[in-house]
Amino acid sequence: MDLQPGQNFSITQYSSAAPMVEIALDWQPAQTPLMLDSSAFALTAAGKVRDDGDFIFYNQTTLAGGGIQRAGDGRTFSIHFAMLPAAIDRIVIALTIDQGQRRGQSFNQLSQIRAEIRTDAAKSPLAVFSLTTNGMSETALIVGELYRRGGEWKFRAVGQGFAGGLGPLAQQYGVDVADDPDTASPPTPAAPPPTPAASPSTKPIRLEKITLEKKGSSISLEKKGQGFGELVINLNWHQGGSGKGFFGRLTSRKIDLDLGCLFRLRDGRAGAIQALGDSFGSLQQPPYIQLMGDDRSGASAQGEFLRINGDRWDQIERVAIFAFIYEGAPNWSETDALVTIQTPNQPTLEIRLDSHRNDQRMCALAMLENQAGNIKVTKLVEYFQDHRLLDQAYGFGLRWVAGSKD
Amino acid sequence: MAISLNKGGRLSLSKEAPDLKKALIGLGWDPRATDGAAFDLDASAFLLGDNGKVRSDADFIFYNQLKSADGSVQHTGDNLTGAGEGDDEAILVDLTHVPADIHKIAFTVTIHEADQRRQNFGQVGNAYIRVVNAETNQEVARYDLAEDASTETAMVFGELYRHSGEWRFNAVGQGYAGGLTAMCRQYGINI
Repeated sequence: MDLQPGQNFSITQYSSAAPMVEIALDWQPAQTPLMLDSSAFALTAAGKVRDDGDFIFYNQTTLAGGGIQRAGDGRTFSIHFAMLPAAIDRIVIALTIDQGQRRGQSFNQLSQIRAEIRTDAAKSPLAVFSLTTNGMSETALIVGELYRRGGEWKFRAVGQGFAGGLGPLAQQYGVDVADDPDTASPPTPAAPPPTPAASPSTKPIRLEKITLEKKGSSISLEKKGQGFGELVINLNWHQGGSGKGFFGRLTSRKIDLDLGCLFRLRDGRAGAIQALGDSFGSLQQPPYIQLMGDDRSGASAQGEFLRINGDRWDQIERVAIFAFIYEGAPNWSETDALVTIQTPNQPTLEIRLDSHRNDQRMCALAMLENQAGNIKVTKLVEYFQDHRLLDQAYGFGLRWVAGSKD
Repeated sequence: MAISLNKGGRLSLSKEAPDLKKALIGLGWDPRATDGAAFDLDASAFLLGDNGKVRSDADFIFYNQLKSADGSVQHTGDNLTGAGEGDDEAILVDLTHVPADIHKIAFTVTIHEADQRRQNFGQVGNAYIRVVNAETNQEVARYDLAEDASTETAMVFGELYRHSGEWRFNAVGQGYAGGLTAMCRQYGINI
């Protein structure tokens, strides 16, 4: 079923046994300079959040009780109906452009937003909502909403823009926002605030993504309760291909970056996780680190993902995250690569690959160290010719032989 | 308890609201919170003879002609945005004073400039149209536009009509292509 803006349908009638639905977001073109953030607002019948805990976004990825979960790649929300508090009457799904106003961006730069409502990623969706975004001057978009009606759950396609970005949108739904990165004065390279994700009911919520600006700057993610949940490390970059003009066509080629890491566990075991040599690791078994499938076609718009089982962080001593240009000329300056580290209910960390060196194939991005159970993240951005030199610089002590991915 | 109407459902007022003398047709919706042109919903009434047409253009009660010549049908005025509590627009009908040659009063709801603004009822927050007994304030019938007519832009909500000496209500609930202009033509208004 294709939905048009304003149209609704009953999920309960469509799939009566469904204990949950997924709302998966996608957009065209897949390659875009826009940094899109998804969020969900769990609202009461009054159209407001009960408290800031009902605002699910990159810095707070689950609703207490597990009724709403935002996937690590930020593109899918899982809604478990039975786990939702009775007071939650409506769940609004929105997309916003990170710092869109400050950067002069809008949804006009996309051609289409697409939302799939499905009970199972493997099955065909219950409904698809495609929205043409040409001509939309907004930086926030309400995609749709799930709502209770007469004992059923229904979904309505909304597709309406909202003036202002994530901050004003969150405030409209009653979230107490402490900062708005879109309207704040330009970022200062000062040390990031050391207080991640304040307790939602007492302090205003922070929208800020913490950017580690300088080499060597670091932040510590403090352990709360059982563990950290699943850390998702994403490397995304401009993959080139559509250079303008004669020289553009000559020089602009697809750039394939590979994400990987060196690790050392508490028990002394050490190794590498990377597509090279098919060392993809494992989340449930040591080293509790897994590289998600390598997409050599470059078609994956989200870049590459490395996951760390944060509930096993006590087994891990340290992890050095790196990027590697396997084929072609090392051309870091054209990649405009960005690393994000997402940890459930912790601030999102961003590290940009700067101070490029186009004579080296490898770049050490970040070091994650276990410090008294906390995760200390340090920006590295140091370039190396190969794995061996990188290993030597950080002292993992591995033995290296040449390998191939193919 | 208001009757939740189905398309084409007929309602005997003598049964559901036997003492209905003054009917209020209420139209409500939430002001727009999102970007874009405001939602402007309009309620209108057509006073029709037994041929299903108006006697003259004076029998079309809408935002530019708020009162029928005899005063039995009165529009409370145009609300352009939906701001405010309760019904945003209302048409009050004194059934005991409707001229004898009026056999039927049709009530419609339309979105102003729906095509240009690319709007439908489903995009409007909490849009409804209802019949209320103005004397007892009891709701007789209601149609939830945003929910049940979500992809429409114009609708014939219902008709009050004379039958064997009593007034009855027919819940038409029918979407209508072409908006207010097309409705006017159908009921014999010169546009």
